[in-house]
Amino acid sequence: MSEMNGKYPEDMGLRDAPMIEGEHDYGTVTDKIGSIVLDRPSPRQWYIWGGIAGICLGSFLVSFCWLIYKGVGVWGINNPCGWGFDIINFVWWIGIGHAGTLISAILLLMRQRWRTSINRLAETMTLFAVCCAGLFPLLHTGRPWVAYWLVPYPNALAIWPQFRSPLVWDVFAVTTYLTVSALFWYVGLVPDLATLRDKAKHKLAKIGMGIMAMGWRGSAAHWHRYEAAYLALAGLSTPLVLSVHSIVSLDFAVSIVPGWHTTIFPPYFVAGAVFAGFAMVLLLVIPIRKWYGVADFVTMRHMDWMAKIMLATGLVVFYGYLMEMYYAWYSGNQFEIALASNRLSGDYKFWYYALIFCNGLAPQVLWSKRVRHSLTGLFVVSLIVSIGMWLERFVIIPVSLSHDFMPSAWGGYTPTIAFGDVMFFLGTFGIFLGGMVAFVRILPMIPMSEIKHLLHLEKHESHPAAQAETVA
Amino acid sequence: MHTSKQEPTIFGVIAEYSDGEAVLAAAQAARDAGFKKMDAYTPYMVEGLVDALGNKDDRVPRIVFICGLIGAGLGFLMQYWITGVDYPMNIGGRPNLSWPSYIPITFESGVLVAAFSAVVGMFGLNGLPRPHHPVFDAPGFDRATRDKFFLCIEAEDEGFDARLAKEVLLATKPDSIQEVPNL
Amino acid sequence: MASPIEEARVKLSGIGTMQAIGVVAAIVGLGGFFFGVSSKAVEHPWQSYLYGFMVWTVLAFGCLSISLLIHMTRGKWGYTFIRVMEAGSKTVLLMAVLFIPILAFLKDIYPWANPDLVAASKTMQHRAALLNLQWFAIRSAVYFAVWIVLAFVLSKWSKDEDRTGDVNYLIKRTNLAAPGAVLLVLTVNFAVTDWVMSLEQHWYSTIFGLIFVAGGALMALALAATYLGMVWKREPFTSLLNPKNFHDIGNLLFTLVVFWAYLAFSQFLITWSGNLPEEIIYYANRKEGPWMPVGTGIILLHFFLPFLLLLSARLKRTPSMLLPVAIWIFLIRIAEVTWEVLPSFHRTGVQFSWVDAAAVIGIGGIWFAVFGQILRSTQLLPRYLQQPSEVAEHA
Repeated sequence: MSEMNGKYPEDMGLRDAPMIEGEHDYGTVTDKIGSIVLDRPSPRQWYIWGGIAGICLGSFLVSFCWLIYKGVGVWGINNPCGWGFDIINFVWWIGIGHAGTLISAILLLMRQRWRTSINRLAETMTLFAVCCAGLFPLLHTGRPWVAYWLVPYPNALAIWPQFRSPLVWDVFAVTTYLTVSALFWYVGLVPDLATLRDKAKHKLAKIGMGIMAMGWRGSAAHWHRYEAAYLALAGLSTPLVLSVHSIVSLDFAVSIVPGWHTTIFPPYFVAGAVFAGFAMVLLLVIPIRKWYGVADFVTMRHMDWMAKIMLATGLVVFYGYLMEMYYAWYSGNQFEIALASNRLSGDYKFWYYALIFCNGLAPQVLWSKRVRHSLTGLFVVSLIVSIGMWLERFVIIPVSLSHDFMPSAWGGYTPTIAFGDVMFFLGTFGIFLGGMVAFVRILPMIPMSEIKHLLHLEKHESHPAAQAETVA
Repeated sequence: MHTSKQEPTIFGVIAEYSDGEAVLAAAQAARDAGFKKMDAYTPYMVEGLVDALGNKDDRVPRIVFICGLIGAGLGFLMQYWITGVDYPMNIGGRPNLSWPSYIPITFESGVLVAAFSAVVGMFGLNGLPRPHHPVFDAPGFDRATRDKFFLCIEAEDEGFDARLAKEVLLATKPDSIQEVPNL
Repeated sequence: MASPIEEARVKLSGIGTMQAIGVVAAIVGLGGFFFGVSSKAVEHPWQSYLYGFMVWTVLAFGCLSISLLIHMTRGKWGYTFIRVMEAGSKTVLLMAVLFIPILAFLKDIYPWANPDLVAASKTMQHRAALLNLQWFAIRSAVYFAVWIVLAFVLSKWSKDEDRTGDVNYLIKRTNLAAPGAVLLVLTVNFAVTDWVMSLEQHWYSTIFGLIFVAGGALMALALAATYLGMVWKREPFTSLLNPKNFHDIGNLLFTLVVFWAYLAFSQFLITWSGNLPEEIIYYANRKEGPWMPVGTGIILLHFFLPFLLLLSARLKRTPSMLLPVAIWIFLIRIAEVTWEVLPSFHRTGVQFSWVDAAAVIGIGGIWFAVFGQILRSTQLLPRYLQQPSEVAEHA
């Protein structure tokens, strides 16, 4: 990264750095990434995290069974706070689930090639995060075994879902999101599965990968349709990502509860989701690239970009906080004003200030290039942001519910710990971590075919044919 | 298994290359020599290859667009029929046709149907899943998903002549040339 | 090696024509407007003035937002029209001058400047701490100061970079543009709150400012696309522009159309579902008289029409097809600002008078005349356009 010498560099600073480091050709890319799945022994950390995931899964099973046996009363929810950890965690997990598809889809559409090495990991993260998220509202219904009532089908009671309720919109949004993300993820995997099929020595791996690869043979005609379908999926997923968290925000905004009924909610929730999602991607990528030695493909340039996106979305979130306060005052509405002052000086004020620190102030260090280029710095900021985004949902939900219109109906919210809210929440990390641990072991975490394409482009970048197009 | 050899002819002639640009040039050369029925096999998408081969197919985006519109339309009608026609209910005084409330699900159903049509349409037009294909029997073809690029001139081509095909392919300086058996 | 940019110190004959039309429109429009004022043709003529002012101010800060975006991302996609956006953003100085009459005729325009109305409303008394002449003037001065500094400093650095070839200016303008974008969103939000939202006595909406940010950027980009669509046949533009550039601009237009619709619909759905009296008044009022068909027209022609057209890759890659779409978006943007501003005056009787039309044409005329004058003194293509940069990444 030589600094300026009077002429324009290819790119400033780190953007000088290549997206693929080290000496690689198509074969070594395949070996380096494919062998993690096929024949390399897992690093020690893999067993450690597998163990942690196992413990969390155990705590999940215990608290899940207890919940089903006793009912939602084992959670801290009460009247007036009918929504507590369940909805906080739902929104938190689904927010995390947004970076995956966003990284893949938007960056593909913008032809941001740096996405290539992190998109698979991020998409997988999305799938497991959305699974964790979906559990909460499902169980919060109290009778999850009749959850199919949420689906519009003609039934004996002649009753339909109530389409004017955002909670029903949520059902459609979350299931669509999960389905489309899974399709996008699988379509992206097919060429790599074919690579593994052809590379695998073990009969079982060959058959398994072969079935999943659907007989992909890399035909040019197939690639062409594949690219069209993949782009179409990206084009569909991008607004889908925005719509899902917007609809989640409408769960709140469509009501008239003070602090919830505000028009900024959709974009502000979406920005928060992307913010939290990128923080979680960084939390996963920073250790994984080290343990698996894939730093050649996930370079500092990727870290820098992700940090910048975190900074930008963090600013939007902060903007949301400012707007909430300003317009609470501007409205002149006594309930809105009371809610704002309750946030600033009420029972939960500590959490509000913690939130402002975590999401508003701490990410501002990302303006500094030094922090963006320090793995430790990024890791710490990401951790703070993840906590901050959880606090945001906490501040939105119990603070508004516990003090709404009538003082006689005011209350408070305390989560239960053992066998309750906290244990269940920790349990969902078992699903998430367990899923990720299994994924890095059985599927290629970096898309090999796309890395090869990138390699090809970097090799032939100066090719005049690439720029020879003229206006039609 | 191979007893019913009714067509002892070959599937085609296949040439192997180690670079995307090379296979692109070869496809161009084969096309110029008059071959029409051919396909290339590459580990990643090589831009411009379908144009060179002349087997471009742009139906997928159109399928997605039409299915998206159908999905959105059906989503909207479903909600209107349920809340406005089949079982109207007064929810907070909102009209039977509460169209603003229907927009989110209209959008979601459009996206869902469009996404499925993209995947099903793509695999369907590609003729996948198809567990076996003659080119898999070409020697060394397992590297087509790794680091090798193949161009296959198929025997189905009108006026196919194995000798001529080999000649044309040889001029493109491939790493190797083989006949693909039609098993 | 002489670059085509060096040789073709582009002079576009069209600029003169545009300026001439602008001057004529200014004379006719403002003449009509002042005739309306003196003949008392309408009850509150300065409301028309605010409306005309808002239409073109939205375009001015829209140009600033696009110029900030290009500087921030160092997007090669924008280098062919960055000078046009810079010229457009410099018109914020003009808008600052044109703002002065609004301060002078505050009573004619804003309900909070009318003591009788304030006395009757608790909400307005509460807001009076901020909504009064002094604070309104001070805040407006701050908004304009921020915009003027951003517009002029960026444009200066951009030109200095051309003149000296010193790459440090590139770093400087990027470093200014990033926090500048943050400042722009904040100032536009509060400016729109002060200038437009406060026309309503009770209504408020937290997303309102963002709708204007997106709308302004859309209008400015439509202007840029119109410009490129008109000049691409001349050298050196022909050799500088390829279908990919137009495709990128078309995609950005598409994104902004969708983003604007997303924000506008979010506000509508939340307000409609909440159905609170002090909020729903905004839409209830726009259901009356001519505003219902205008609103419906905006949904169809500001969202669906450009949305469906811009889905086509062929259209986006063909300048002669993109041009009419860009012009259309520019014009429908004016209709949208009209729909946002005029119904908030709660007029009885005629909703859109000829005085409104005169004000919007007159101020628009001045805007284009000044815009043309700035363009005239500008090298239309920056030299750094031809420097190697992140073509591959952003092109």
